[in-house]
Amino acid sequence: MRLDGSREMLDGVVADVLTGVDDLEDPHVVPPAWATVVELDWPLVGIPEGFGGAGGTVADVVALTEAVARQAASVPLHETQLARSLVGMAAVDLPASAVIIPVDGRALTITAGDGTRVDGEVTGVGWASIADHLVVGIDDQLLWLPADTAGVQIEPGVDVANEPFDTVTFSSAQAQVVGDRRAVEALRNGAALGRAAGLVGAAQGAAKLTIEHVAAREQFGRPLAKFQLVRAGIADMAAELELARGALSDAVDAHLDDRDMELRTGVALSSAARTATLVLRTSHQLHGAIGVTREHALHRFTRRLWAWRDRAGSQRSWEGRLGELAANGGPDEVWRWFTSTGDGAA
Amino acid sequence: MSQIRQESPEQLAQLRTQVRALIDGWRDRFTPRADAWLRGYDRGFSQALGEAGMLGITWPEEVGGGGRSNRARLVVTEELLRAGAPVAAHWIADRQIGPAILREGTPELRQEFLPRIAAGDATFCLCMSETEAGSDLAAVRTRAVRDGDDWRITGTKIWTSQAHRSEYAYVLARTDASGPKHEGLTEFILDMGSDGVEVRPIIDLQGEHHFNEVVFDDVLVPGRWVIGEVGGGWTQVTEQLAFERGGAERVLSTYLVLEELVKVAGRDGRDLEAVGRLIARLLSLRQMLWSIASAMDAGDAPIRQAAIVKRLGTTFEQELAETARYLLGTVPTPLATSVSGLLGDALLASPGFGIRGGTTEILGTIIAREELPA
Ligand SMILES: Cc1cc2nc3c(=O)[nH]c(=O)nc-3n(C[C@H](O)[C@H](O)[C@H](O)COP(=O)(O)OP(=O)(O)OC[C@H]3O[C@@H](n4cnc5c(N)ncnc54)[C@H](O)[C@@H]3O)c2cc1C
Repeated sequence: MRLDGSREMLDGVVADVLTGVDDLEDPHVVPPAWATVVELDWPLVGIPEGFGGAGGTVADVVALTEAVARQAASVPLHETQLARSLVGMAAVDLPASAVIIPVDGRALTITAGDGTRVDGEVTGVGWASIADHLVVGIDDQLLWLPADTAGVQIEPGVDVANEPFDTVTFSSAQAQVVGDRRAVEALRNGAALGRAAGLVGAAQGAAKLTIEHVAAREQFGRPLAKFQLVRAGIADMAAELELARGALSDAVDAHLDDRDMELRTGVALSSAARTATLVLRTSHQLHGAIGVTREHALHRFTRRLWAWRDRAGSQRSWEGRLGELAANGGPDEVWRWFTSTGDGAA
Repeated sequence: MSQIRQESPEQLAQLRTQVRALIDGWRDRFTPRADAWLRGYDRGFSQALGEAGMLGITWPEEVGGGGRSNRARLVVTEELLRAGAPVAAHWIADRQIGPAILREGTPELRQEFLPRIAAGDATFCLCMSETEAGSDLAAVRTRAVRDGDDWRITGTKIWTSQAHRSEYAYVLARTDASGPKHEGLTEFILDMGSDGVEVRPIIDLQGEHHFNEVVFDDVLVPGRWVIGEVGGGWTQVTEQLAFERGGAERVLSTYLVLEELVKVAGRDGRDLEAVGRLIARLLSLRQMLWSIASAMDAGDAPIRQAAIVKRLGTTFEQELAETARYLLGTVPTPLATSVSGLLGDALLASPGFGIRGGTTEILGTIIAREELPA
């Protein structure tokens, strides 16, 4: 399925189907909106039809992730799309409703012998508590296992956005090898790309609320939007968002073309996280007290921004990696990156 | 002018190789420095670029241009900026006076000036600002009055970069003072060798002479040297400024310092994250530069994006110099051919980045207006 049409149309559809989706009361049950999302085949977007998918590319996946975040909706959509696309044929018979969750297994160990077995603990896994299946990247192997496999234990937790933030413990849990080092890299890059898209979407949502607020709210006999310092804050957010959206689209091109993926993903994540920080601060400041109430919608965006910046590898670790790539590559390589940025947009 | 310009990646790569080769042939004749597009002046280098077809590269071939895309121009300019090459002699004319003449000028005016600008032969300075007309450019008081078919210009301009070396000036002057300030402005070309032109140096904080005060006392300007409409100057100059903002010189003025930083990143406890953050910023900005050039090639006027790139790009240029200062642990020194000299050069040039060509604050008001229309 290609998501044709404008961003406004996509937003319209997302708003229609996800309206009323507020914070998850109990984040450790399948969210009510999931059924709707499944009906639309969205978990299958970005997966080739030959693999039981709905077609479309990573560009569609990112557009959808951004749009869902612009509505501050909580569904394990990007996670499932990514995990499903990585396991390929192994997931071909799973129903569209299956929740499949990617796990960065850097901290885990594999023992071969009686099949492939996994040991260790990973903290901060989003949505593991409602997962039907887990896809785990460890060193140069991508593993797949049902979440109820013997030896898998999931301890539910929440992040500041009240989304599942769980601890998964593996004790000699049996898993199936479904991919190699490239698949593990694709899992890490894909997860960060999804986070960047989510951050951009949620930041757009917060900025939109802020623009509406300063246009409507009056003080000193005038709308806040008439005051230059207020307008400066709006300009800052608009400029940063434009930059982050550009970096995101460049990363999408890199994923489509399979070139400089780690670099471009890191740039998109760093940009999105930096933008998120600015939008957080500015939108709360310009909302005044109403923005810190539970009743006002702003926190639905800002709590996600707080939660998401460091969720697919920290912002710091990605920036450190960019610095390392630059130091290893040297000035000529950095210049090559510079001059090849945006080519996909040609 | 709004035809869609396509160029293959191979054509652009070939152009890049040509620019690099030309620069390499000149390396022993210039010292790379920060902000070279304002300060590095070598007429011979500009003429060599002209001869190689690198100037006026987007203009039609009939007026001496290259008939190529805005992306091709980005390729040329970014390579020149990376090298810190002496490009100030032609920069203003190539970037904005030529395009203004192309958009607004009569066919005769185009033929008279564009081939010579594209050859690197006709150099221009920009006489817009006055003491009482900075951000509020429409407040210019310099007057132009009719003298038969010609004009006489009287007034004082300030901050005119490279006026002392330019053959011609672009002058924004008031031709009608009776109405509102945005009406009655007109754009002229003026011969800097004319009677009644006086150029007084202004020394900048580094002790360099690049800008000037320029006094016009009843200077004769031929009638054919009006650019566009008499009285249409405000609309035209606004468009000129909007177009000139979105180029690579708003991102790369301190790039030489980044290369030094990359060479030592991670060594001796220097943190890699700070370098990574700069890289992320740099590449995000290139994405915007590319998308602005592409939009112009498609016949669009990406004015909002250009304002954003200038506001964020010049801030990045400053952030880059400050991060380098912090991480290199080098004490900046004046104009020397060393890392500390490059750093000193970059730091002392940096306050101008957010001022010239529309201040950071004025750009903020432009961006905010897009989000919150009155
Ligand atoms: C290195 C350099 C080279 C230059 N070269 C040239 C040249 O070749 N030709 C030329 O014509 N000019 C040139 N200029 C001048 C430049 O265009 C002006 O400096 C610029 O337009 C700002 O005007 P100003 O300096 O009078 O500052 P002002 O307009 O007095 O501004 C001072 C401060 O007030 C702020 N401010 C002003 N108005 C507002 C407002 N409405 N809202 C919020 N903040 C506001 C500004 O942003 C700035 O921070 C050059 C300047 C520099 C620094």
